[in-house]
Amino acid sequence: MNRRITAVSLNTFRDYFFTPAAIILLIILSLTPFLCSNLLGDGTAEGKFRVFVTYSFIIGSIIFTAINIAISCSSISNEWKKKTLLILDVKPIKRWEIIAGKWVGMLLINIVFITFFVLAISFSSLLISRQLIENFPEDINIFTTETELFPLAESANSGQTAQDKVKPSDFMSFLSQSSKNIRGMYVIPAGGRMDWTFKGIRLPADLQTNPSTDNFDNVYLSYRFQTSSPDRQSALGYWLAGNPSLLAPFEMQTDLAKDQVHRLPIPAQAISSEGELNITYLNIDPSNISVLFPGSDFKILYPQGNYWINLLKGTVNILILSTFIFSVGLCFSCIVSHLTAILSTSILIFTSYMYEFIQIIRISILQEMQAQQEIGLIQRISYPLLNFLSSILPPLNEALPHSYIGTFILMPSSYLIFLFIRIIILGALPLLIVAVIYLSHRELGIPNE
Amino acid sequence: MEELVKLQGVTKTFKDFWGKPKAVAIKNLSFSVERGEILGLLGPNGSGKSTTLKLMLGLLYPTRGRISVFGKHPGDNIAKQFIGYLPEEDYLYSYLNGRETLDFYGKIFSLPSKARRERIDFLIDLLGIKAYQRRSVGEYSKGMARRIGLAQALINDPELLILDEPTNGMDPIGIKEMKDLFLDLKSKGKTMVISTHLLSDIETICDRVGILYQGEFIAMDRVDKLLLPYHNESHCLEKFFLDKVYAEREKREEKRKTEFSKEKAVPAKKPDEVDQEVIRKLLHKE
Ligand SMILES: Nc1ncnc2c1ncn2[C@@H]1O[C@H](COP(=O)(O)OP(=O)(O)OP(=O)(O)O)[C@@H](O)[C@H]1O
Ligand SMILES: [Mg+2]
Repeated sequence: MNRRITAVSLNTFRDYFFTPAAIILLIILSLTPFLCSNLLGDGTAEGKFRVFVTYSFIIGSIIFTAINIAISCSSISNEWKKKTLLILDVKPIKRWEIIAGKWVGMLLINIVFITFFVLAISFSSLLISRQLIENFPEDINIFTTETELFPLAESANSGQTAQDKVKPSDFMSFLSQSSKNIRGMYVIPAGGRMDWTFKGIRLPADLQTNPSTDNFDNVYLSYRFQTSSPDRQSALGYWLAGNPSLLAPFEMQTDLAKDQVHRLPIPAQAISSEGELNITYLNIDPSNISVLFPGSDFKILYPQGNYWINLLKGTVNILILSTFIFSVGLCFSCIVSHLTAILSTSILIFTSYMYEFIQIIRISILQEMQAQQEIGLIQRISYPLLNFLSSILPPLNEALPHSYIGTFILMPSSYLIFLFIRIIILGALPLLIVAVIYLSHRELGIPNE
Repeated sequence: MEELVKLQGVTKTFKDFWGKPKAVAIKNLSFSVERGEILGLLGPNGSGKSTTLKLMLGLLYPTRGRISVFGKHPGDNIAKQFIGYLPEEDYLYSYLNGRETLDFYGKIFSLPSKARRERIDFLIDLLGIKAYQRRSVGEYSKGMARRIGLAQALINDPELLILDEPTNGMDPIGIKEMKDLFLDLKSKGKTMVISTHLLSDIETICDRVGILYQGEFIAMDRVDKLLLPYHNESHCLEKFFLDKVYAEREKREEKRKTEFSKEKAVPAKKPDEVDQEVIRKLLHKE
C-alpha cells in the first residue's frame, strides 16, 4: 500500500470516526450483546442462548449495514460536494488510489467497530455461559461437543504445575536488571574447567565503590545446569569470578540441585573497569559426572539504568503486551481465524494459556505479599491488573474445544466471518457505484447544480 | 524559451445533461506560458478566467482544441508532480487543522516524513500561519484559509503555480506580503499563471497580461508594451483595462443592435453614466 492510499484512508477514517454519530453508534454496538444477554427466551438454556445470538446479531448487522452504506455512499460524494476533490485531483494521485483509499478507510472504521463488537460478544458469551451453568446445570451438556479436537487437552491439564517455574524474583529481575547471554551448550567433563568472558557490562558508578546489599542492585550469574547422571540430583562445583587482570579470583563453591535456575551473587569488584568479567567453572564432583550448562539460561544479571524508569518501562511493557495479546487473540479469532473453527479454538486456548500464565504470576505475587510485610510498588501496580485479567480471560479447562465456553464463543463468532464478508461486499459495492458515478466524470471542475 | 503550457484554439462549451449547450466559456483561445514568466489573466466576472485555469489542470476538458502542460496532457500524473493549484475558493477538509492539512497533501505527494515536516515548517513560517496552525480549518477566516490554500499549493515546491485570485479576501498587509512572495518565487524561476481582479497585482508582478472578455482575448501582450501609450499617467493599467472593456462592449452592443434591429425595431439601451460608475466601483473592490 503506498503513502497516498494510506493518507486518503486515514483522512477518511478521521472524517467519519471522530464524529458524535460514530461514537454513539460504537457505544450502542458494544452494549447490544450485553443487553441481549439479559433476554430470557423460552425459559430453557437453549432458548436463552438462541435469543442472545439472534438478537445481538440482528441488531449488530443492522448497525453495520447502516454505517457501511452511509460511509461508502457519502465518502466520495462529500468530496465532490465540498469540492475538496478539485484540489485532490490536481495532485499526482490516480483515481483508483482515491477509491482504494476510501475503501481502506472504511475497512479501518469497520475493524474498530468489529473489534468492539467482538469484545462485547465474547464477554457477554462468557457471562451468559456462567449464568447458564448456574441456572441449568443439567441442560448444559447440549452445548458441549465431545469431539476431541486436541489431544493436547489432556497433557495440558496433567503434568507439572507451572507454579514453581516462574518465581516472583524472576519477575522482579526482569524489571530492574539487564542481562547478558551466551549461546550454545557447555559440557564440562569431570575434573574439567570452562571459561566464559562477558564484555560490556556497564555498572552504575557508585556500585563499584560501595556495593549495595540490596538484592536487585547486585550482579548475579543466573544459570541452570544438568548432569549426566540420572540419579544425582546435584553436582559439586567451584566457581571463579574475576576480572582478567586480577590475580586472585573470587571463589564460590556450589552443590546445588540440577535443572533449576540458580543465582550466584558476584561481587561488583570482579568486573573490570572496561566492563569485562571472567567466569570459570571447575567440575570437582567426586562421582565422575559431566555437567551441562544450556547457554540460553546462562546469563549475567546486573543493574542498569534508573530503577524507576525500568519499573515504568516494565509496567508499560506488561500492559501493552497483555492488552495486545488479549485483543489480538480475540480480534484475530474474529477476523482472520474464523475461517476455520479449529484455528479460532486454538487462539481461544492461547488466550486461556494467557490466563494460566497470569494466574502463576498472580499467585506468586500473592505469596510474596503474604510472606513480606512490605509490599513493593510493582506488586501494588500489577496485582489489580493481573486480578482483572484473570477474571476476564477464560480458564484453560473451560476454553478447550469440547467445553461449554469454547462452544459458546465459537458459535456466535463463527457467524462473524459472514458478517465481515458481507461488510466488505456491502461497503465496497455502493462505494464503487458512487465512485463510478462521480469519478467517471472526466471533468471534476463542473460544480454541482 | 521553453513553453510549459500551450493552448491551441481551445473552446469550452458547457453543456447540460442532454448535451445542449448552456454557456460558451472560452472561444478559440490560443496562448502559451513560457518557463519563468508570470502571466496575469484579467477580465470581468464570468469572462472565463477560472475555466481557462481549470482546463490547464485537466479539471475540465476542452470541447475543441489542444492543451499541453509540460509537454503532456493536462491531468497527466507526471505533469501534476510539478504543479501547484490554488482554486478560487478554499476547498479544504474542515475537520483537519492547518498543519494536518499540509501534512495530508504532503503525503499525497509521497514526501518522506522528515522532508515533509521541514517543508511544512518552512511554509508555515513563510505564510505566517504559525499562530493558528493547530486550529481546525473549518474555523478559519477567509484570509487565513487563503493562506493555507496557498501553502497547500506550494507543498511540493512546484515549478508551475496556477493561482485563481490568490489575494481574494486578504487584508492590505496580506496582499503586500503575497506580492513579495510572488516576486520571490519569480526570482527563483517559478512560472505562474495568476487570475486576479486586482490590477495593482498585475502591474507589479506580471510579465505579460491577457484580458479576457466573454471567453476571448481582447488584449494579450507584455505589460510594458500594452501600457506604452499611457506611460505618463497614473493608474494606467486601470485606464487601459476600462478602455479596452468598454470599447469591446460598445462594439458588441452595436453588432447586437444591428442584428436585433433586423428582427425588431426596438432601440437598444446605451451604457449610461450610472452603469459605468457601478462597474468602476466593482473593479475597485479591495
Ligand atoms: N459548470 C458550469 N456550468 C455551466 N456554465 C459554467 C460552468 N462553469 C462556468 N460556467 C460559465 O462559464 C463562464 C466563465 O466562467 P468562469 O468561472 O471561468 O469566469 P471567471 O472569469 O472566473 O469569473 P470570476 O471573475 O467571477 O471568477 C461563465 O459564463 C459561467 O457561467
Ligand atoms: Mg473565477
